[in-house]
Amino acid sequence: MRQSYTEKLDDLKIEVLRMGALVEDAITKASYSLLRQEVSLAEEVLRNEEHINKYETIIEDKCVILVATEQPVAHDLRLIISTLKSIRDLERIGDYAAHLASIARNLIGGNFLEKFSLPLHNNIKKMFEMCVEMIKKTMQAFREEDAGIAREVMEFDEQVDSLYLDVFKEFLGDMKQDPSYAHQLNSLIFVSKYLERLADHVINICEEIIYIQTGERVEKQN
Amino acid sequence: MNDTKISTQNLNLFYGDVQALQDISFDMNEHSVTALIGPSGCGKSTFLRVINRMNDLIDSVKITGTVLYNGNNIYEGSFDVIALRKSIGMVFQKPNPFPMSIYDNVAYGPRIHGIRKKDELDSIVEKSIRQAALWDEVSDRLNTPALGLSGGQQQRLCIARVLAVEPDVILMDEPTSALDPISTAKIEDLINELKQMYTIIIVTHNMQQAGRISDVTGFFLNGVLVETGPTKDIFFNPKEKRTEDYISGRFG
Repeated sequence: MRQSYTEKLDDLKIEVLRMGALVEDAITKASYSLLRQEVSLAEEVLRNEEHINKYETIIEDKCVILVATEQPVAHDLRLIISTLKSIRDLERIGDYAAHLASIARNLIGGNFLEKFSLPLHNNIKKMFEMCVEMIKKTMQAFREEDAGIAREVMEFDEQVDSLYLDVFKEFLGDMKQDPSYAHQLNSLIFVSKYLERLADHVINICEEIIYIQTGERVEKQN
Repeated sequence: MNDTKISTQNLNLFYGDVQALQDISFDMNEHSVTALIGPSGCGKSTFLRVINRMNDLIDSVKITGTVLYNGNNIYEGSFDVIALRKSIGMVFQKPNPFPMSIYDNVAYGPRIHGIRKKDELDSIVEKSIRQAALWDEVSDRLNTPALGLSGGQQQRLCIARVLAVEPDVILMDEPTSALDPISTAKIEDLINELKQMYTIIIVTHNMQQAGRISDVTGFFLNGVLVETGPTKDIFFNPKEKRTEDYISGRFG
C-alpha cells in the first residue's frame, strides 16, 4: 500500500472541501447582506475573497506535485485533473460572491431596497437559496464522490436560468415605470446575472465529480 | 481494423501440480504493442514463453487449450518449433549478447539459417543494426566485442540480433528493467518504430512504460487474465477494481 500517497490524495480533497466551505459561506453572507441589509456581512465577504484565491494556488501546487512525484493513474488521475479544473470554478464563484457583496454594500442605506421590497423579493431570494443549496450539495457530492448527487444538482440549473429571466423582465418593467431608479435596478439585474453565472460554475464542478467517479464526460445541454 | 496475430483460447498451464495460467483467452493484434502487466509471479512471463513454446524446455510443464499464431495451433504435434522461434523472437530482461563481436552477434542467426555470403550477411547486419537504432553508435567498430557496449547498447544489439532473422512477432520480457532512463527512452522509441513492421508483446513492471508504449494492455493476477483493453482505458478508467488497485500501487 502507498500509505503516504493515499494520505496526500485525502489531504487534497480536504483542501478542496475547505475552499468549498469558504465559497459557500461567502455566497450565504453576500445574500444575507443584501436581503437583510447588513453592510458588515458584505465587507466580511470582500475581506475574505483573497483567502479563497490563496486556496486555489495552494491546491494547484499540491496537484502539480502529486502528478510530478506520484504518477497517478485511473481514478486518482481523474481526481487530480478534475480538482485542478474545479478550483478554477470555485475561485470564480468566490469572485461572484465578492461582486454581489459589493453591490449590496452600494445599495444598502438608501430607501431603494425597501421601495422595491427586496427583503421579501421572492425570485432573488429563491435564486440565492438555490445557489447556496447547489454549492452545499456539490461539495457533499465531491466529498462522497457521488455522481448521483452531482446529477441532482445539475437539475437545478434550468430553474436558476428561468428565475434569472423572470427577474430580468420584472426589473426591466420597473425601470420603464420609474427611470429614476434605473441604476439601482440595473444593479439588481446584475445580482441575478451573477447568480445565474455562478450556478453555471457549480454545474461545471458537478460534471467533474461525475467524471471522477465514472470516467464519463457529461456536458450540460445549453 | 487490426488482424489477430496471436490468439490464446482457454489456455491453462501447469508446472507439475501447480496451475500457473488459468483459462486465458486473449487476442493480440498485428502491428501493435501489447503490454502484459501484473505483480511478480502472476504468470505474465510464463504466458509470454508459451507464445514461442519456450516452456517446452521445462519437463513438468503441461499445457491445455489452444495458442493460435496466424490462425494455426502452435501446440499441434506437427508444428515446426524451430521455424516458430525464428518467426517469434524474444528479448530478455538482461541484455545477453554473445561473447563475440558486434557483427557476429547479429550475423549469428542468419548464419544458423544457412546464409553464408558475406555481402548478404553485411547487408542483413547493417539493416538490423540500423533498425535497432544502433548503427550511428557502432558502425565504426563492428568487429569489436559486443560486451564492450553499454547496457542500453547491448540491449539494442540483442534487438538487432532478433531482427536479423526477420521475425514476425517480437516478445520482450522486461527489456528495459536493467537500463537507465536515457537507454530506456531509446528502446521505447525503438519499440514505437518497430511496431509498424512487427507485432510486439512486452512484459513490463513499469506502469508508465506500459501506458506510454502499448496499444493494448492485459493485467494478470495469480495466473488469471483479469482485464484486457485499450491501454488508455486500462490506465484511465479500468473496469476492474483489482486492476485499478494494482496500477495505482494500492495492491495488498
